[in-house]
Amino acid sequence: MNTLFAVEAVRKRYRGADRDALGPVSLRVEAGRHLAIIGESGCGKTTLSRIMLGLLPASSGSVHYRGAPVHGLRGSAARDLRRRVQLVLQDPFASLSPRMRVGDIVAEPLRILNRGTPVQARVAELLAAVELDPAFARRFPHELSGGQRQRVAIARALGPRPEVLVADEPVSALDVSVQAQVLWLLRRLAEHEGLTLVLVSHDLGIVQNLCHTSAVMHRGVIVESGATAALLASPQHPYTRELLASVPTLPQRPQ
Amino acid sequence: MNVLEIRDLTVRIGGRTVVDSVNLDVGRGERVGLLGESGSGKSLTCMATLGLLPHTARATGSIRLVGEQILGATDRRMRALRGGQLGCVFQEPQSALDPLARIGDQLTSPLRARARISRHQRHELAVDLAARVGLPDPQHIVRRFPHELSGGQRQRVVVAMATAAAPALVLADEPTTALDVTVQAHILELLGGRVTETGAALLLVTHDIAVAATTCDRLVVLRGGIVVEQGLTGDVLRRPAHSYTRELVDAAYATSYTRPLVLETA
Repeated sequence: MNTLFAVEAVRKRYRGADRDALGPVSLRVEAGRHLAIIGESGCGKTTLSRIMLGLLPASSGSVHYRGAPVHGLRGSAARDLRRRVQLVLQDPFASLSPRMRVGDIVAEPLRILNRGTPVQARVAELLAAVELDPAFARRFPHELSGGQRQRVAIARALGPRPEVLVADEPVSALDVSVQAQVLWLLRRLAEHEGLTLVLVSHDLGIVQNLCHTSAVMHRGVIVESGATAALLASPQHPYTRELLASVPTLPQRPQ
Repeated sequence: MNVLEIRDLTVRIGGRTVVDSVNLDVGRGERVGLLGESGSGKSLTCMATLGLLPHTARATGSIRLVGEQILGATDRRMRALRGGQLGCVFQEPQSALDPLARIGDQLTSPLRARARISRHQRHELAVDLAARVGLPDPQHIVRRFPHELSGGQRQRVVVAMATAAAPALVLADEPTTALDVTVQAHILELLGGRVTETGAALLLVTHDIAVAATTCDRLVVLRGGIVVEQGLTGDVLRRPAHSYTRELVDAAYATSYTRPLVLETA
């Protein structure tokens, strides 16, 4: 198999803390797979994703992307990683610059990471891919609904044609009907572009609908991982069981 | 008799109608879910019932709590009702609690507002209430301050206060939205248990269909300030009559975790 991310025994202790926020954690992300990192607040899932992206240094351990360490990259090597790995965050109200038009927001990474791309045509193509009218390019984020903003964030992330999309709670801030649309969009795009997906989420419904494999985190470590269907059907770790038992569920739908 | 009867409730803010001719009943001991997405008017309906609408809002219609007209009631009367006949639980327990008052004093405040209670009795009552809502180490936790408690523990305190004076109705506006799912399960169980123990009815305001489905007998679906559908929980989920409800239920099934049919026990 083609391993993209290799995380080895990563630990993180924040300055002034008396215990590790994370670790030791080891995991692999294989090309073309959709991996969910599941956990509740404070479990370390966001810290782990930041370290994988090279945005936060680990206290010990290592992260490699396609065999090259992600930390300490500079210049064209750093740009190359940014191009290959893109990020979508939870809150599209906070992640989009309020002073930039949608067209510029989507174009920005293209200008920086994919020099020489005909930007305008690509922006139109990206907006179409996330099912937004090209006229949205002229608008500002405050003129958009939450779901539309998240589509813009996804379009921006897809711009550089990444191999991996890391999505940190991508639909948690959205209304249920919009969640379903954005989820469907993510799934379709991931298939269409052959994307590898790393989904960081507390929401088992989203995970169940989007990811082949899952890793459950609790108090900074992965307590259980494996195929999502198997993990949800027969959870082994007591925490996973508690988590599954806690989720409010809808009654079985009549066929 | 219904504990809550809302008739033709209309709320306007700055010329915009945000709640439009809403009718809603909650029977004695009944659990009703008020379901809607952002901007549906669900929270404003709740605020109107609590007498806590913003000053710029104009409300017309009728809201009766155990027969008494409370729409347009004086602040003094509403203060007496809240914490008395009308318990309330909000999304954010941090802001619902006084940061400078000890947990024990806050727990007993709904009771102290209604009867003279000696200092000694107060402590006993606080410890008893803390124990009833499953707070750890009740003897000591009553001396602590809100910031020393976790989010789930704080929401337990709020639930205890909302149900302390045996209310006719508990209004809970997104009570578990800020909490982790394992904590949410405990709080929903506690809230359900407390309303059963005290005989209160529950009006649960939520955007989460699964939360409403596990807690409520009946659902009222609100969209753009209008009640588009109401009915028994099972009926609404199985046979949604309105196209919006159908869309909402479909979306919920598409995004909700569905428990595998056979749960293996190792």
